[in-house]
Amino acid sequence: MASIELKNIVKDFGDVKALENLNLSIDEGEFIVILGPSGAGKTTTLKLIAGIEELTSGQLLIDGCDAASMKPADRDITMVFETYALYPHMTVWENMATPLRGRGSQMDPAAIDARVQKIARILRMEEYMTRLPSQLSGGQKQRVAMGRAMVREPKIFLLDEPLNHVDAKIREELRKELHLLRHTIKSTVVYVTHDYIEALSLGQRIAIINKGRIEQIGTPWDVYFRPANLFVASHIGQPEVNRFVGRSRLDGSSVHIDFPDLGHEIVLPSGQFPNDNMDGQKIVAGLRPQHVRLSETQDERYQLPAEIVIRENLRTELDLVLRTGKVKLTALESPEKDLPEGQQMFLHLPEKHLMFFSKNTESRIDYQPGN
Amino acid sequence: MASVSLKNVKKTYRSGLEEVVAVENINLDIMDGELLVLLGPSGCGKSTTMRMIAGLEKITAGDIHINKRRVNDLNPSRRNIAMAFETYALYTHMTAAENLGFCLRARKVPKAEIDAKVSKIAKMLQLESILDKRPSELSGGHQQRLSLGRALIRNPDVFLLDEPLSHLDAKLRVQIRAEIRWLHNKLNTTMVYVTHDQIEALALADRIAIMNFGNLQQVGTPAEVFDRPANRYVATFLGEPAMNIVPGVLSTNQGTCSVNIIGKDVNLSPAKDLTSLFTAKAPDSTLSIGIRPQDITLMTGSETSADQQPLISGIVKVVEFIGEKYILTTRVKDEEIVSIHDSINGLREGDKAVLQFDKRKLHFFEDNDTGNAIRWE
Repeated sequence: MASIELKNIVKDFGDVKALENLNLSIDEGEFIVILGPSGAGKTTTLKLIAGIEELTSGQLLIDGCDAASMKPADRDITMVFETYALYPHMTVWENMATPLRGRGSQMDPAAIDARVQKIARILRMEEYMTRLPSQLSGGQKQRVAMGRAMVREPKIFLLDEPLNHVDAKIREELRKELHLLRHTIKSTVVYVTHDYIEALSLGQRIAIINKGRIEQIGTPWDVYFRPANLFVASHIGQPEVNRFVGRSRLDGSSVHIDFPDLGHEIVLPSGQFPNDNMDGQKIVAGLRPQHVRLSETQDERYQLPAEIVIRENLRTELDLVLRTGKVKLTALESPEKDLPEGQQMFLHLPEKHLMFFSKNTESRIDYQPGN
Repeated sequence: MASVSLKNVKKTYRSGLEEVVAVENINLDIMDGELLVLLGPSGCGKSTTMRMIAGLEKITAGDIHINKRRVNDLNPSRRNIAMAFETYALYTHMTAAENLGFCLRARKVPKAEIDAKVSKIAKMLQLESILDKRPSELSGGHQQRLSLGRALIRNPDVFLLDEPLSHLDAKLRVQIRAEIRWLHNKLNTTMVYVTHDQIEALALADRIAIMNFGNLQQVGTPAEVFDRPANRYVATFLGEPAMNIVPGVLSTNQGTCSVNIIGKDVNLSPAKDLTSLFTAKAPDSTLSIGIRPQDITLMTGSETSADQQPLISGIVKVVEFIGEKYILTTRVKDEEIVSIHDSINGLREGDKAVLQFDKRKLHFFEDNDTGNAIRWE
């Protein structure tokens, strides 16, 4: 186990700024996920930690020591890549044992076997130890690659999109294995992905990165329910969060927010916005599709008329796109309610699930809904 | 518009001395105006099947008819088929309008007619504002639409799409998917759509043909293949997380029919069509039981089981928070049961969980390699 601290890290590739002033401190033994779209700087961050790339400026501390003075080999780090490179002529056992059998290894054969068997058990590869890589499925090969990285129990374990190239079923299964791994290995783990489900499922904390900058660092619950800005809100969750542009004004102790494109106004107590002056602010409200409520009849709550323009029954959920005013929004319903396209509905946008962002800065506005 | 029919179509390749079967004796009738999705994992033969329809692959045996005309020996160009690929090969030196009109110009269609068709297609696909731009200036979504437009402008009998969305990011994929569906509703062109993504298939298809190892597993509407999968393969391929498959043992006791699922006796007696199952099978025969993660309810402990639905309990191995929902993996005896819930009442790994499943939603499969479904009501 080791702590990792990235301080004011800048990384340029020629004229291209890959990382701009990145700050991130990772605790000893933590499982942290770096989440972001392609080109965000995720893999570059991993390579800097591993010592494969050199940083342009800033400081990297491993266990409090400046990594600039450490050779990559001395950092006690292993890295697993998106594509697994196994030795084709070696069995699963031999592939997994290589890091322990290298030159200068002090381990005796019995200890090596015990270690390999232990990791094989965790990854459920015990039955395949005598097979060659060509006799394995893609998911199994990826397990062997992970197992080979794990046998040494390095201080730091870096994983770069390890589930990217396996199909959906295996991904689901390996995600579960990785989950169990969190309890069984003592290494500090930095895991890179572009898949928000993997990030939510696996990370003790998630660092969301975009264009070389960190947008938010927080627990899965934080980044999902209290996204720091619009980027985080729309990058986490599928279908994407609905957005409505509005303008707020203060009237006594009430905040009125008018959404002209929606033809709708909401009124909330100003006390629910403890840190912002809500008078005359341009606002973006966010609401996740799961929280849009629909009714076939209009009443006090279900006021907004909307027409279903797209309906997709995915059998486990019904995805709807509705048009109301000048706005299109997405809603999820239970698949039993097989509502047809063209159907007139009425919307309710529950206040307690709304999120608010400043239109100009795109940052979250602190909002504490009542119950 | 046209129907497409495949009769005993087979495709084998020679690989060294070995003969490899890519597609095994496939029978499939695609109806006029239908959107049929060929779904399966990589290597299952779905793209080969499409390429045989297009005429890009010669068939080894069988017959293919398009619009009741046998096309086995017809060149691709004479089948009046349009194809859109995963990568949209647009002409980079031409504007969007020139790309759209290219094949009509090549056929020496009069200019006025080309212009009329281009503007009609552009209007339909909302490409009017970008007609003067070159592909490199367009977003991925516009490029994909342009590629669809270029294929459609020829007014093909059959429109083939090979994984057209797999290179797009998640957001755009959902958007273009809806556009393809909309386009199909509008044009009523017969479409054959190849994908490995079950969500795409469920969202788009009039019917889905599921393939594995060169064999057709099932053809049906999304509701049919999802709710009444023909075999264990189809059952576990569709749906996320995948359907749980656990062993079960039949037992008949004083006229009641029950099945033992992971040590729990579940009475199925009111079920009408089960008689056939119990007469065909000896008591104590083993089956595979399928339970969808969505059909499992997490009990909080205080309530009693509603409608005498069976309860099973185990120890939670993995809790996954995935946003609005939680995925639980619970160890019950030697089995692992995956379930998905809106809330889990603070349950943690290592805790005991009581799960209730809906016995009306159980799936039964033969306990053998094929795992054919055993129907019941």
